[in-house]
Amino acid sequence: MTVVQNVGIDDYKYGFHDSEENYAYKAKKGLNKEIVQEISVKMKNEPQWMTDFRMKSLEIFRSKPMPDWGSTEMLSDLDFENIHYYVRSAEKQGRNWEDVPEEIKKTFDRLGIPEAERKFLAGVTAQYESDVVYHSIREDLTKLGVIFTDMDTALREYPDLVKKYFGTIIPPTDNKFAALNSAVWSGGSFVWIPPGVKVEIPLQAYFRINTENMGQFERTLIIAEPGSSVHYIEGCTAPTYSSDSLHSAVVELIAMEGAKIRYTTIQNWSNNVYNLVTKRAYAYKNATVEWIDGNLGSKLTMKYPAVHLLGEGARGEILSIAMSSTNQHQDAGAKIIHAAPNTSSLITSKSISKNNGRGTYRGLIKILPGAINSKSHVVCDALILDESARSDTYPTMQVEEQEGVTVEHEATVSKVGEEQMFYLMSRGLTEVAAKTMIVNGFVEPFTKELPMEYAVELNRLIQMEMEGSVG
Amino acid sequence: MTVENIRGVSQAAFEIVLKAQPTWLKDYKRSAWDVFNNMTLNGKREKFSEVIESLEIENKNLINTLSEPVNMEEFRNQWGDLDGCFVSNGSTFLNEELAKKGVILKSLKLALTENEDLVKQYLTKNNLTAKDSRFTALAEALWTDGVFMYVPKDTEVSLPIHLLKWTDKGNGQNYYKTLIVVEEGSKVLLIDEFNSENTNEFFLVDGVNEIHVKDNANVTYIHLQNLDYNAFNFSLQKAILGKGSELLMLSLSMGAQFSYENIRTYMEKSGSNAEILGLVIGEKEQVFQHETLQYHPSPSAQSNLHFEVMLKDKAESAHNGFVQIEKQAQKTDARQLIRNLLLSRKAKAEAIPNLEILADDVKCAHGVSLGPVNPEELFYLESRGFNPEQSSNFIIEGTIESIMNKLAKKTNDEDDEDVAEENYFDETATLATRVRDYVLDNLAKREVK
Repeated sequence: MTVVQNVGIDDYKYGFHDSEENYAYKAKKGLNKEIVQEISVKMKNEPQWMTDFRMKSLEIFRSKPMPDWGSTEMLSDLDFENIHYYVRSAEKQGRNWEDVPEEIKKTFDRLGIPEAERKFLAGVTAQYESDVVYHSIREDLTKLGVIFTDMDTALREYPDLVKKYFGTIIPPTDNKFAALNSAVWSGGSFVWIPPGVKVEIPLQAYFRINTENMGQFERTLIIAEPGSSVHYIEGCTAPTYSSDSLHSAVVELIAMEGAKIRYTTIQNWSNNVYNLVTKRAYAYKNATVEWIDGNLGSKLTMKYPAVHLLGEGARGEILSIAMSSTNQHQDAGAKIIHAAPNTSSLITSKSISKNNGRGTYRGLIKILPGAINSKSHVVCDALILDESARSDTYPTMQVEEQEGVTVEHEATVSKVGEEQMFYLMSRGLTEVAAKTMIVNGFVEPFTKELPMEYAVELNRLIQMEMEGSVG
Repeated sequence: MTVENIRGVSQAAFEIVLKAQPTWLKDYKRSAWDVFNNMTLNGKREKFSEVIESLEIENKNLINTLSEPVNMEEFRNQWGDLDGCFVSNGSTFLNEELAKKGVILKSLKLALTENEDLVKQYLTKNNLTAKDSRFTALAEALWTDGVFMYVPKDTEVSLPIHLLKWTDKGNGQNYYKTLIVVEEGSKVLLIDEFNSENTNEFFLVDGVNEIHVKDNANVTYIHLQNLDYNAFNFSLQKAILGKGSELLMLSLSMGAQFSYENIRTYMEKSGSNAEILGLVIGEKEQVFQHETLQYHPSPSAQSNLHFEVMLKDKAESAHNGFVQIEKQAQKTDARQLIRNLLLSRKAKAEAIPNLEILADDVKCAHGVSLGPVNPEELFYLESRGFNPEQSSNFIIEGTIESIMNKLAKKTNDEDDEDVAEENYFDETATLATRVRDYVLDNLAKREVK
């Protein structure tokens, strides 16, 4: 048995921040046409269509109301005028680790990024503030024609591909935060997998916010051509500040016929970050899209990864865990739209809440007319660790086709069983160790889908969270 | 009826209604009217706003058309021996023994004057449940009559009480209130039936049914909605449960063109127990909307909701179900099961089973299924020579039976020793059989038409 170290819950391992004195550019706080113009034209030298797209999105953002559901109180504290919309830490992107500025390199070293890369990754992107500062991809993948780059570079080097798909899955009109991202986006990944190419080892992106009151708005687009497959992993951290930062990403996935995309997120923002993210995938004939979504950090997360099953035989799977602790609200969920025959989906959601944390599952299953023989199964389990925690489940199921359709939903909410605790503690485990073991068992269906290093890290994070929860 | 020759819902109409009420009730009515005027159609709560608008409430006579059917005997006989019966024109029958013991069954309008002290405490602003839906607020503001039933302490009403709300006239707006108070340690079995025929024109039935189940009381409440296709039905069924009390409830929705049922059980005191059963049987272009709440503010209460929804033709159903468990409500056991059977390709169903849990030591689960008849069951029946129509009717009957078994099951669960207890549960079993026959007979009548 591992000896449990005495680290408290406040010991957020990634809470340090770096000096900003060598920064290349930091936009003034606030959002207006000039800032958007500056990001697009001056800083990024973008084609006219993108500048127009941004300006239009800004208007849409202004016209859309804030969501009137979920944590409306936390949302109303969000001050859009008190945010830096663009911060550039370095003059240029590094291809070699040595090229990355010393300060930033130290940060990522502390976060263990190059180490992880050496071990098992096919490619890495590291985004620091608004821009990608480091990027590498294995040569054999480049030779196969795989494109894995940051979105800004992609817009310069593959303008036709980007223009064809950018914003087609999640248009700026989708929601207020998608509109905001569309107006001020910067960084993120662009991945294109040629037909039939199977990328066996994962591609990774790492997102880091350093500046106080910073807004990070990365934009990721993954296109898997027919018969190809890819696994993309992202991780997120930020320093702990007293005032809030905003992370609002847009992630679009396209799985063509017979393709497979797995998208894994381990979100561990510090608990002053608003994490308001829109993620959606289109799955065509016989394609599979899997969202593996882990939410541990942030102040408020609102994220409902979606899969639209557009072709016959397409499959969508969403597997998520959410851990809500002190002053946190994890409002997460999943959406599946069955729009074609013989499509199937599976949603597994595990939520743990403790202290005054609030865990919410919000989901939608929709079977459209004509989507015959569609099957959907949803399982939501919640574990409440103490009496001040709160757990909610808001699932919506709409069925407009009957032939061969089955939609099932089940949910349970429980606390840690007294018998389980008694059993473990009678075998010499401390209360903390016993509870940690039960929680780790509870999230096991999730951890076993992660690459080993991530699984170990996740278990360690849970252990750290648990330290603060007992005694 | 005092209000006649008035069209629509207006301030003037409300004033006329208000004028006829006792002074002490006016505050209550005014706050309901305010809520109605300040509420807008809420997308989530009243999602079929187009259907509701098609009722054209502003063109309907503000007149209560509820009355008594000519063939009243038939209506009464289907329930066997009764201890009491109340019909919407006010005609009442009550077992004399019970009347002597202090049981009251009469029109609410009469009770407002004759039993003022008794009813007053339940008709206060604090007790108003108007904020759930515009139509609940409207009913609370505009009702001028309804039913009042009172069962005093430690009184057992052994045979069922039948309440019938019936009409044969369309183009009306029927607002009513049913107030039922069952005091400590008492038992009662109620059948609340809504029926109509030959109405020819659209009409509105909008009411509030409120049941106070005091400590250790035991209430069985069967709510049957079998209005004809011209009806737009809105109803609130609200139960407030005392310590150690039991409520067994069945809500049947098979009539009306549009039917909104809001079923709220407040597990006010610890150790209360509610079994909430639902049957929804839709055809043609019927639309059903259910909103249910199992509210747990106290520890150690149990609530169990089980709905079976069966939809033919282009029928539609939406069920928004809430389980809310407050912080202090430890040891709660709350369950919610909503099953939707789509019997035609054009039928549509939606279910949202919501959980909001602020306590940690609870057992809470919900399940939802939506889909067609299990193909294996269908194959089994068809391989035995039944055509698809017959087969699906078998499945409907089987599903109805499963709910009725739950309604009657109390008999088997309890190992009761005293005879009075046994008698009561025998009545529940008999009642379950009668309710099943009622559903099947009325389904058969529908087929003939």
